[in-house]
Amino acid sequence: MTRFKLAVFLALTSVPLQAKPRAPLPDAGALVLKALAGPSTGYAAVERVQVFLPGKKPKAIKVNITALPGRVRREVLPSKKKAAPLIQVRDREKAPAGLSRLRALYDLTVSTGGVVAKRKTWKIELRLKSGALRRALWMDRDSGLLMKRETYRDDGSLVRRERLVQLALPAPVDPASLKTEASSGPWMPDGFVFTGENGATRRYSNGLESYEIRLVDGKAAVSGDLAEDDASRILESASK
Amino acid sequence: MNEDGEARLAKAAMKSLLVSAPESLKADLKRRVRNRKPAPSIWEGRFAFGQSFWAYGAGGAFAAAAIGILILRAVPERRIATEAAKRPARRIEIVVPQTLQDLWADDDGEDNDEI
Repeated sequence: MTRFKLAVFLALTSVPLQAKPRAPLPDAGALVLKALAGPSTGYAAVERVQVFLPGKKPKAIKVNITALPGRVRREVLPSKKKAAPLIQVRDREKAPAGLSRLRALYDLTVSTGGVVAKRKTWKIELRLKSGALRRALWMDRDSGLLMKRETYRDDGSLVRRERLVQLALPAPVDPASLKTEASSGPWMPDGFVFTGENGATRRYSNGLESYEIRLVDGKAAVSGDLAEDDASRILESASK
Repeated sequence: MNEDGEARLAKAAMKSLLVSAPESLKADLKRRVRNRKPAPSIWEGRFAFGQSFWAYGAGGAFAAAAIGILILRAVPERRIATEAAKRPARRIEIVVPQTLQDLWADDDGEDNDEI
């Protein structure tokens, strides 16, 4: 080996040593707790929600989000000018309760998540005990804010993607805009509203997807376009 | 015999009839032709109908039919409302699904920050 070759060899082998060490992966539980609690300041964001129905064109809605610690306001802007916006103001769930539900249903794994809305993220995969991937969450490394969430079918195809496309954090938010009225009935996933009831069956929809809550022998049962954690949360709130 | 021959034969027969007809009959026919009034125009006929007794009858019948149709159309709704009031409420529509569907727009399905 000539001196030149030796120098090149040493230079190449020393490259990994000079590389910046990777940030250690955080604990999945701690990340989820931070995400469920939300940022400690107010923020404003624009979210795009995409739904992928089999054999149909993808559909999307644009949601304006404003939030203060513990409370979130979501305003779905209609695609047609004539339609009225859908506004939902909701309190955040207590983070430990949400984490215990997710842990009961899924195995959580953390990996690096790339950049979403110009922010570095961690990615958490939520796999059913059978191994099937049900959800993937992207969380802001600094604030813990949930930046992106994807939901998958049993066959692995994408059902739904919610992604922040613009974010101002921190941002001044008027507390008066987050006033909420006491709501009755079980919890509903974001964007869903009560659309009607037929006997012991109550129906909910977001315009594309729907689910039903039925009372069978005094016990509530839920079925429809829902991930397991959403279905579980609905049943918990329905039984209260 | 062709058609031309038949026409000529008919014309000759008419002439012979006119020649053989009595003068009194001819004079009577001429008088009737002179005294005959021209046929009333379609407009005069309509105005005449509008001023007649039957016009009122037709108008009344039309009004009665219109009122009858309105009553018949209103009756099923009233019947449904009565039945719904009797039985317990089973189906309550709060949000029109079309309104919710209007929130959604076609999308390219891309995963990016564009909106």
